[in-house]
Amino acid sequence: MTRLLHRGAAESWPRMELVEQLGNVGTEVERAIRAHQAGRTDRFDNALARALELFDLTAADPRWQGHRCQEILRAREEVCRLFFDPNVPSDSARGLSRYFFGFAWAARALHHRRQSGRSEPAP
Amino acid sequence: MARLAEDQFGDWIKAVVDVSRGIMAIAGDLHADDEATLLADGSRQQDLWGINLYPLESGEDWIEFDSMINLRPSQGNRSRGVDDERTRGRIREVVESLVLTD
Repeated sequence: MTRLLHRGAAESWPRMELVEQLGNVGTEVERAIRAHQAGRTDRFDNALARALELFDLTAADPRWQGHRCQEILRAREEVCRLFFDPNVPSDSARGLSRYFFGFAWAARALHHRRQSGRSEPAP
Repeated sequence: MARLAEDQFGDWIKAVVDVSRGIMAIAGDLHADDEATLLADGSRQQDLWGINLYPLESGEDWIEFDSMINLRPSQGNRSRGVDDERTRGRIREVVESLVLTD
């Protein structure tokens, strides 16, 4: 499959921790949600395509095979359901936003720990 | 727990409760991590439910029923929440028996 949307993602992805990968996925999911709510079809199409591509890179990462890959694929399915299932629960967008914001927060916390030379969370 | 939450997702932390055994696992990056921990410890899949805990909240608001692992149509649960009220009540019982709250 030809990947054109994120030229650098395939190279950088293997160096990222899971929360960093999902934080980046969430950025695109959030953009897709906002564009969808605003009726911006062009922005929505592009953001969703990027989100799904990053989901697929994450799911293909051999480090996450097994139970982690299962949740990643469930999350991908839930994002698709949000936009294409007419029976999606009304609070699904809010819940998914919170789900992905958690990873963005965790990725920033990881970044700060690395900057301060502390690799693990404080006890 | 608030400190743990701050270091992980900000003001909340993930947990998975075994409603049969009355135990829970917390602080996985994914609910699937906590789920795997409990399965390895002998829990049964159908007894496990993912929740988020907000240590700085009180009352009902401190437990949120929202997890990818809860999507189990074969068990009658078709959302990321916990659709069965009795199961939600049992989850609350287990959490409250394990965590000291104000």
